[in-house]
Amino acid sequence: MMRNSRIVSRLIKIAGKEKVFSSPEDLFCYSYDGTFLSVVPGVVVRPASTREVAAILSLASAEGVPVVPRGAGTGLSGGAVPVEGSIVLDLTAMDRILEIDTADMLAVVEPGVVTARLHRAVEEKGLFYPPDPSSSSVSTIGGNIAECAGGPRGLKYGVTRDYVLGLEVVLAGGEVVMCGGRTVKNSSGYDLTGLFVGSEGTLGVVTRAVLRLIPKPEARQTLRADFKAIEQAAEAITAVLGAGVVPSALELMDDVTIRCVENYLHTGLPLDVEAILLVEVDGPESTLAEQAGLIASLCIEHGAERVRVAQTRKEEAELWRARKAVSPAVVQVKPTKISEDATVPRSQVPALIRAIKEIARRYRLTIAIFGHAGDGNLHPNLLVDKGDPDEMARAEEAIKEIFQAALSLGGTLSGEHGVGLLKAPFMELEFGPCGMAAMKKIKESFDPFGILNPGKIFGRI
Amino acid sequence: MLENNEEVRYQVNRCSRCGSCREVCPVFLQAGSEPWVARARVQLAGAALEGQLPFSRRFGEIMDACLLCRACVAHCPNGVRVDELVLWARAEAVRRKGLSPARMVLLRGALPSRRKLALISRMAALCQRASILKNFRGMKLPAFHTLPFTHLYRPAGLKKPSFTVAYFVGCMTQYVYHQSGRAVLKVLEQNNVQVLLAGSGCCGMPALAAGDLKTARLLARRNVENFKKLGADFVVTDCATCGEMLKLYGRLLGDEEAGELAARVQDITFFLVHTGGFHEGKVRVPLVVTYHDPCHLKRGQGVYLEPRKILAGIAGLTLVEMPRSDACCGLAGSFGFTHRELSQKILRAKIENIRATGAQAVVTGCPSCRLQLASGLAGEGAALPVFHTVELLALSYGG
Ligand SMILES: Cc1cc2nc3c(=O)[nH]c(=O)nc-3n(C[C@H](O)[C@H](O)[C@H](O)COP(=O)(O)OP(=O)(O)OC[C@H]3O[C@@H](n4cnc5c(N)ncnc54)[C@H](O)[C@@H]3O)c2cc1C
Ligand code: SF4
Ligand code: SF4
Repeated sequence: MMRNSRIVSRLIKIAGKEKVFSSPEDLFCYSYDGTFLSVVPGVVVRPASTREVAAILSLASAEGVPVVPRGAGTGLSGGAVPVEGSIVLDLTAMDRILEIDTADMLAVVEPGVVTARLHRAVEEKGLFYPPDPSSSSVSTIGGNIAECAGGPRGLKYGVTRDYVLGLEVVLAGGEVVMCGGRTVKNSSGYDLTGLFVGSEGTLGVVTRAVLRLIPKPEARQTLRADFKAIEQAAEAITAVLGAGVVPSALELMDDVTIRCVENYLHTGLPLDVEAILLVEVDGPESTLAEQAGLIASLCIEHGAERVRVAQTRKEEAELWRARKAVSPAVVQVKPTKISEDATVPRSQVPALIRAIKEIARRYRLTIAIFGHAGDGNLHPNLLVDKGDPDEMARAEEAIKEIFQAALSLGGTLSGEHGVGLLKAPFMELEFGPCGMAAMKKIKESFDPFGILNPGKIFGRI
Repeated sequence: MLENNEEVRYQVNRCSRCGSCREVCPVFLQAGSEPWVARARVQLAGAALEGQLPFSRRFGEIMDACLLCRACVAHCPNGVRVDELVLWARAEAVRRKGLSPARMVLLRGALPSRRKLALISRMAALCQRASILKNFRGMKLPAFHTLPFTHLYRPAGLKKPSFTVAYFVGCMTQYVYHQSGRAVLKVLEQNNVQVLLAGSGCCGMPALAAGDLKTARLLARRNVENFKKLGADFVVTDCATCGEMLKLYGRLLGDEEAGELAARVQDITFFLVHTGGFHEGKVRVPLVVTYHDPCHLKRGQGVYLEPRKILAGIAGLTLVEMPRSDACCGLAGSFGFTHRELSQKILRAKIENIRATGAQAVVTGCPSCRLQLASGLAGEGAALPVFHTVELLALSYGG
């Protein structure tokens, strides 16, 4: 509970009684995000406007109370897990789509807008907002920006960063800054917009975003290719991209994942292959058959056992059903799944998969690997039982080794989930002491008193 | 029903906290903040189980604000039984702290007594004749009857019936929607099914939902004994909620006899389509209708194709599906009265979807939904009638 009931009453003055929660039960409900971590905050407030956010931050900095911004709480690195005694800033009440401009092809939104709602709203106008984290039906734009969320479309269309034109951000002291704007090009001054994207709520609170939109692709087509060896799948991917075709999605499932899904769905997935690739192309209707045909023949040339091209919407849905079932399927094996997102240059995907399989064997763990093979962003999921301390300890060691493997292959700790609390201990491995010192300087100049989401990225102090 | 702490813990641990339930939980979608979503209820139940949080008043409020609609369960990638965790939490709170005085009167005093329920209905009916009690807490009430259904109607004796069924007349049909009960009798008789009236009392769902296991078991036991005496092939009901509850008797009472009986309970539409069979009517019913899936029928009993199949066979009738036909109507027993504002918001979304279809009438399979929908439809715009599926089938039989 908040030590200082004065802060609670000041917050009530700012946001109104019904927007401030301080009972132990309500606080408990804000103690977690999509990870297994939890810390109970001091108070929760749901501001309704930039002005209220500014007033809350200026109060917090005057009192030296930490503030933890929060969207839907689906983060997978612990970014929205509170700090003890902190103010949780639940931004989901700020959920207006303020503008969809078809001439300038942009949208102006508040941070609490749910990603899928934006997708629907712009698609109704023939436009397209590509970033599509699998959590998009619930995640918020604010959370997407703060984590630089990606998704299957990353290969062709890029990630959240590539669609943020401008931001309104409230700084630690309550100052409101505007950065970027409504233009696609912008080379004036430092790229503050770029700095805030992926900053996990440690540099400022996003209260408004100008997002770039593109024309909606006319149509899409999906195919599936099964490979006896991971290497063949990787070669096929290289060949496809080398031929000048950029699929809008290129998803891979490894043998463990395939087995989990088949046990769950019973749709006749092949159990004698090492990898399944799901490939989607999009664009003008007239070009799709040719693109899909080319991909199919390249896959076969590189050793695919079989290739199936979806001919109808129904067949397409059937092909994707297997990929969509991965999450529920893997938890049938063990109750807890720890989802990582180590990412390597595309050419190193087979090497990373081999390394992870070796780690799984050594630590006697089940690890299902799937993810966005086209951009090197894999999701090794450790399937464990939270109630088994020995297994959890082995999992922790295994995760360390996975990070090391990804880094030694020229990759990064996180492709799209961010660092948060879970990956903070490994940051120095990736950036070295000088890199960390540079980041700390940036953090200190924006947040001299360290009230904004402390402990995230840099670790608990 | 979760039998012990281990089962509760197992369900809590299955929750990966992914937050996907934020997309579908109707209470959360209206209320907007985390405590009102399924994920929070699961986590709170876990905390209470492990003694990290007490069964406080606020805890009770959050658990009470659940419709038990199971939208979350159907959507959850891990299949967490949120509804059962909520029921466990409510029952555990009652076990530790007892029932509130108001619930004591309602659940232990009135609910188990058929005489008192009949009296309440009679008084309500008399008041309504004097133009009072047409509304309750802002909800437009349907007309109550002075006499219960089972006093007024008797099934005909058939010579060589193909089946004999016990018809469980739920409270809502008993005291409010006689037309639905009459349709059940007519349709079954015309299809050569002998009906026996189970001199029914409450099924016990209101007690179970309030965490009052004692009353729920008492009522369940009584109904089981009743059915045993009748010795029918099947038990049918026209109330989705009663149907789901009767099917729970085996686990609620934990004995084989009750389990065996529960296995023979069928919703009327399921019985007609799969068990008894039915013939199509000769009379045209020229209506454009839309169908609302009751939570207790679709997710509770897996019955949603059957009513549509029946409607499809009625000449002249057109079914226009509404978007999200299986979204909860927001009544959920007493929720509609205890959480008035939330319930109304959920209802409004439903009514908008109904009106957008341009249908002339709404069809559903649960009298509680019917009550709520009729109240919502009586607001602005044309007041559309609400029917039970079998009523339209009965209409097509003519006479
Ligand atoms: C089932 C599942 C699938 C997922 N799939 C993907 C995927 O495919 N790709 C992917 O990239 N991620 C994925 N994620 C991770 C997660 O959904 C994303 O990181 C998402 O962007 C988080 O959004 P949120 O609204 O839930 O943010 P939260 O979890 O609430 O917060 C995340 C971070 O953002 C900060 N924050 C939130 N709002 C603001 C704001 N307005 N200003 C400043 N900081 C803010 C918080 O402090 C925190 O550090 C998945 C998660 C789940 C549970
Ligand atoms: S109840 Fe299911 S959908 Fe909701 S957070 Fe838990 S696992 Fe996810
Ligand atoms: S049962 Fe319905 S109201 Fe209750 S938590 Fe699940 S979705 Fe929400």
